[in-house]
Amino acid sequence: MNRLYKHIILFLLPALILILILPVNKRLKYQGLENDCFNHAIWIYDRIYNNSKPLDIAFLGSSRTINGINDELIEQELKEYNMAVVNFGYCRLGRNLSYALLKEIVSRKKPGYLVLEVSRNEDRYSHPVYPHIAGTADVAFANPFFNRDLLADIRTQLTYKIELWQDIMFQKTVTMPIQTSDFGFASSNDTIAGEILKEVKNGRSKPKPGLKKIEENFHMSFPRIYLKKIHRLCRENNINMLFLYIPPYGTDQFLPNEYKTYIKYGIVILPPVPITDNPSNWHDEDHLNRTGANKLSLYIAAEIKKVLSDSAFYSK
Amino acid sequence: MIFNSVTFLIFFILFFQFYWLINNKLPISYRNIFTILSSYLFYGWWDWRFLSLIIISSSADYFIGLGLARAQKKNGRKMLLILSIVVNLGILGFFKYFNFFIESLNEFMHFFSLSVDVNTLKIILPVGISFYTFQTLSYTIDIYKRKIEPTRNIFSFFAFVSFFPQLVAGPIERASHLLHQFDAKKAFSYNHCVIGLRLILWGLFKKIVIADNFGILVDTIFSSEHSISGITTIAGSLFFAFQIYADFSGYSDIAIGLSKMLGIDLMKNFKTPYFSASFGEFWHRWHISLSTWFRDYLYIPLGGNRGNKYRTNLNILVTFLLSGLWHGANITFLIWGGLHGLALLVEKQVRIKFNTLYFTPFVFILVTLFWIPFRAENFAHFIALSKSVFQFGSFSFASLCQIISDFSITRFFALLFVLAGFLWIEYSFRSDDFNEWILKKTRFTRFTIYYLILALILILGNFSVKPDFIYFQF
Repeated sequence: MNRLYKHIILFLLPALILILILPVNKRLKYQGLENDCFNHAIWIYDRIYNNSKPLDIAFLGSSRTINGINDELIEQELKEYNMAVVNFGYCRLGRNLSYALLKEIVSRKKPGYLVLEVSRNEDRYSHPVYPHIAGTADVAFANPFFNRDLLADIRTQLTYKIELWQDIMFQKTVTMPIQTSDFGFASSNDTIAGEILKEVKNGRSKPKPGLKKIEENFHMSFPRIYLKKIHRLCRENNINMLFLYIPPYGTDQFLPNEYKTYIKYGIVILPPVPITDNPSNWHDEDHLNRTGANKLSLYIAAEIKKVLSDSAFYSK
Repeated sequence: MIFNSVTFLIFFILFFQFYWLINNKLPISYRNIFTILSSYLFYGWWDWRFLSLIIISSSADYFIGLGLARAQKKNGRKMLLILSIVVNLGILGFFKYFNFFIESLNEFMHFFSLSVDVNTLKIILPVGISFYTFQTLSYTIDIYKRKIEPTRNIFSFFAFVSFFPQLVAGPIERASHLLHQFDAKKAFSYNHCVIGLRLILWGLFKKIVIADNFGILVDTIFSSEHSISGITTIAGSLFFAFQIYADFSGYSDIAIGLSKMLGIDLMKNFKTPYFSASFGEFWHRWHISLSTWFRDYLYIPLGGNRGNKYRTNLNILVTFLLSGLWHGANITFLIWGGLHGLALLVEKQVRIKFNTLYFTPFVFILVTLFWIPFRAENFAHFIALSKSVFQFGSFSFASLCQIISDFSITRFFALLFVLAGFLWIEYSFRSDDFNEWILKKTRFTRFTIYYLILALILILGNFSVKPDFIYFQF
């Protein structure tokens, strides 16, 4: 049987090595996600690699960040500090994507602050886009004991690489023009009907059975590992970490479940209840509309100002 | 779990290791128990609730088999056989055909202006139900006919029914061929594993390169909301002919290859059917395990060709209609079966020698056109497609060219080039299989072909589609 295994490995090894070493243009990786999240990936790439404007404060998070953080407005508010603010939010949850994007950011830019969006619970699964843009080593050696999606991620990364090569070979690749916008905020002016929000609030205020300590520790291992990695990366690059809690509408939970973990790494910004509780600030039950986003952004700008003026913070 | 998924790869590596370990160190029953549990895990990956159906079907036929061996009176034996048929066809009928018959009844009543509305149920079709019910049914019928003796070993029987490589899409095995293989101690053979791996590589090539690429074109053509021209429909059915053959025969090759690695022989399911010079020959080469099942358990019991001409023709037609219905609860499958039945009847009337050179293309064209009802979503879609075939007025290559252009012209021509090579290889081993064909080559040529296949899988393989096989829905 050993002979069989040896021969199979020897037979497949050249193909495997070829796939692994096959270079893929990084921009194509982001461009390939054109049907996902309003084609936001290619903009993220261009903002990091093809936009010479510096970056001082980076926001990372989900679609709640895209919809809820008006980076241009915050930048105007922080004019006196001359800081460039960018919203790098990307749809859906998965803490490992924040890590992958931060790695990209620090490879080109030198942000002083990272504002990481947090929600009620940390998502315990891999972000679906992670294997498309993360490096091979980051995908293949990504916490095997706590990563339910490890195999799927490895497969996705390898097949995505092959697909990109096939597109080049069969001349299907069309290079997208460079995205020149400095800001990533995208929101809607629409407001959700009050009745729908009432129903949502009723549903969300019902108490849900919590996890036992042992279950919680198991489930949260995956995001906690990535939080640690993000913190380490921030420390290595002299980036101050802040956390921003963006709850959905109607929740009666005013602190994220992992609050104790976050405060070990940095300040946690909690949104004021008058903003989150006002139905006219919401586009749907999970995302703020432009009015809500502007209010929240002004509040965050004020919070950041406090941080900037607090010299003690720098020594943290 | 699908054969071309990473989950299955991990599953099979672990299974393979422990299977041989248990086989070598422990009594046979342990190996069979391990096979049963692993097969249930494999099946339960889709929906564990439907495992109960396999267990019911296996238990019923195991005990009915024992009862048939004990029962001496003809009536008692007959009752037991009927019980087995009721259990298996009852499960199949409820899960697969209940809604079809209710809907047909409602339509029939409406046709006669009778307002009887019987509600349909929300029933999920369990994967592979048509395959394992037919396999276990053949066991009791064979015992009833005294062709085989029932097994007393419950683990062997359950392993025979649930053996994962062929559980969800065949080949539909006979107890006389497969069951006794679970009773024997096996010796690990490197050569058998290599044979198996060759078939797996060939099967994956068919599936990932041929079937999944043509599948994109087929889906675009047949799901088009706009009316399509005759040439596009014909091209669509031609692409579907290659897709379904590569998909299903690819699955069968992988199933046979996996079994070979476990020391178990499964029957051949395909023998290059598109090179048949007659419909009779086609049905000796296409989905052999199902066509022989219908021959042995339906056509021959109906009287076969022993009665007069009209009776024989009726038997052929009934067999093909039911064979069509086996594929799915839809009138389109009945039409497909009926067309093949009629073609066979016509063929029987024309008493000429079917010359390969002239008749092979003719049979292939007809078989290809017959795929239209098979691929159609419903009767209305079939009618629309059939009409479009004869729309020579709007005969236009434009829509077809647009579909190919969206797919990538370079990729399309590369696919045609690979298809030509694939058909040439298939033609070369008409009388044997890929394994025997490649063994006649030198070691250098063999490895060149292996790496060429591997390269084609990487270059042309379609990895973006959800891994699935067409015949799982049956």
